[in-house]
Amino acid sequence: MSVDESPTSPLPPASSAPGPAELPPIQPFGDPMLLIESSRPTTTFRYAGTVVTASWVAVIVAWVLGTNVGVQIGLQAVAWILTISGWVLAWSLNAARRAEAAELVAIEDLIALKRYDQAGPRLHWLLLRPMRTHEGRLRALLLLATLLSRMMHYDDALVVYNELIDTERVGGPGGAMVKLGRAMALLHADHLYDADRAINELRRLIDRGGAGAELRQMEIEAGLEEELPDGLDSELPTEPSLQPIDTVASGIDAMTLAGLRLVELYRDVKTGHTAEAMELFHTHRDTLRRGLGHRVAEAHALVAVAYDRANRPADAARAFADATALQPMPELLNRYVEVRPLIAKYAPTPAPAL
Amino acid sequence: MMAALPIPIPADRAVARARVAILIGTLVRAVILCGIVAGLAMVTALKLDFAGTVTLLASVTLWLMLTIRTARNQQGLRRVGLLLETRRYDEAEQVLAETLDGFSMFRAPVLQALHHLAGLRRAQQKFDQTRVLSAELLRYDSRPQSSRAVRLLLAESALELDDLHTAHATLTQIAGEGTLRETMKLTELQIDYCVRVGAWPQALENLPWKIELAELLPAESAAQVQAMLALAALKLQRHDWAQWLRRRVELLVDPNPLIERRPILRELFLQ
Repeated sequence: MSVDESPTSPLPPASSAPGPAELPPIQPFGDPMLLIESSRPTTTFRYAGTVVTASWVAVIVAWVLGTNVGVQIGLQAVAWILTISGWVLAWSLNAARRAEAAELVAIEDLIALKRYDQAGPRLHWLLLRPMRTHEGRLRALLLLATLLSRMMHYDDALVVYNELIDTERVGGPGGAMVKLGRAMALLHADHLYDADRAINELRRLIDRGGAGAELRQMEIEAGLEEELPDGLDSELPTEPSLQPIDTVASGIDAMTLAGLRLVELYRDVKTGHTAEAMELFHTHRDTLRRGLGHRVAEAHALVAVAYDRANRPADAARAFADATALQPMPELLNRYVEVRPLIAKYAPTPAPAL
Repeated sequence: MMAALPIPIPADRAVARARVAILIGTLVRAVILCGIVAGLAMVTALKLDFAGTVTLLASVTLWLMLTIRTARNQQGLRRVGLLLETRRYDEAEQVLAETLDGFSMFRAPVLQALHHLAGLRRAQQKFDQTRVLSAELLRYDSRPQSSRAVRLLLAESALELDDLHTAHATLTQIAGEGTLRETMKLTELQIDYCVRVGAWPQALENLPWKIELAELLPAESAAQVQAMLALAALKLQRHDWAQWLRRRVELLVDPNPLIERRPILRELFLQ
């Protein structure tokens, strides 16, 4: 059914050019490299605690060993000043770290709720100054890359993703998310050759046991395996599992696997391999919906594009209706330009009126 | 010397061990503080400069040493969150047992270990143990703002165990603004509670916001929340909403396991 036949369709008339209805406001961040550099934690405060403690010990020793009463009174006063300043320093550093962590949680929440216009300036401000902790900075950079991708600044997002992968070498569950984000951004930015390499890298990660196994490998390399109980080492798969990976993935790896399938689906749509896209969707439908939750709407939308190109309008209409039942249409249109032509052909599934 | 905790750690043994650890930590802190006060008194009031200074330095040194030991004991706890996230439950349990077995001068690491253990039991669907552990945690910190996460655990385990009185009491005590994750969990539990007691209008209150939150949940939770909202809509004769929400649920999960977990939802899918 054409959208024009739908009396409740919120879409523009067919004569106007199809386009996104609600684009998020653009918040230019400037050069992302500037934020990457400016957010590096400084070493100013790193040694301050050690200096204050060493001075305190020296003064106490001099006070105990000293014989001159006047000098002792002076040293006593200095010891008190150092003690108080040490406490103030420790308290202020802790307070600053807590405030930074709370700000990161708030920004993460805003991005999850798609309040990009509110999250952007706060993240920009946070990254403009040296951050308190290395972990906090990595998390902020991941949020920046996510935000830039959502706002369709894919080349800028790639700069941040590359920094996280190539320079910071982020691994484990966070690393899997970063690699997925980069693969998707590469596809959006039409770097198809690099995207293919990124997809193969993700496949190898899954074959090696997923993000959990990668994390475990990183712990072993860092020497943490000594703290683990005997026998647990054997849990690390050294060779690819013989079971189909879709059936063994759970938790964070289910998300990684579903993300990988979505990226592969988008690649197939992007490169015109419609038959492969349709087959991938049907083979991995359960994996996609288990790992992606409501974002499985994106897979439905992409397969709708494939059906449409394969001249199967009934299937395309059903897939498009399913996609728009799970996610608002403007969001899908903003994320995938390939979906935009479908709004002139197929009816969405609007939410009922309140 | 106390015997090491067995693995898996029984909830009652963990609670008993935590109580002993907190008591020992409190006593040690009290002794050291007494030493510091005595040292200061000797230096200032009794003019016993050398003895007072030695007492003072010994007390401060002991405090520092035990604080460092506590921090070392606590180091493993930092990994537990990640271990739980990647479903490495055996390793997480081992770290928690080591933390509870070790010395801790402060109660925060002990309570954090108990909290992680409660989270682990929740992930393992052992809700009776989650309830015991979260109730114990509330004995130490019952402030509405800081105990939100623990109260959410307690409310969820109570709901899973069909203890609606505890669930109601706990949910009504949760106050203030939490993180998005806490808000999502709270909304999920409130809807679950409302549906179980047949409070259909309350379940549908602020519906767009509830749907927005449900969309952020993992597939199974998102489906369960929206299935319950669909049931509430059906009860209130809002068939358009019931149909739309049910379609979303069917696109997200297979309804059969959902009905098995929440038999009340059978009515929705029989339509």
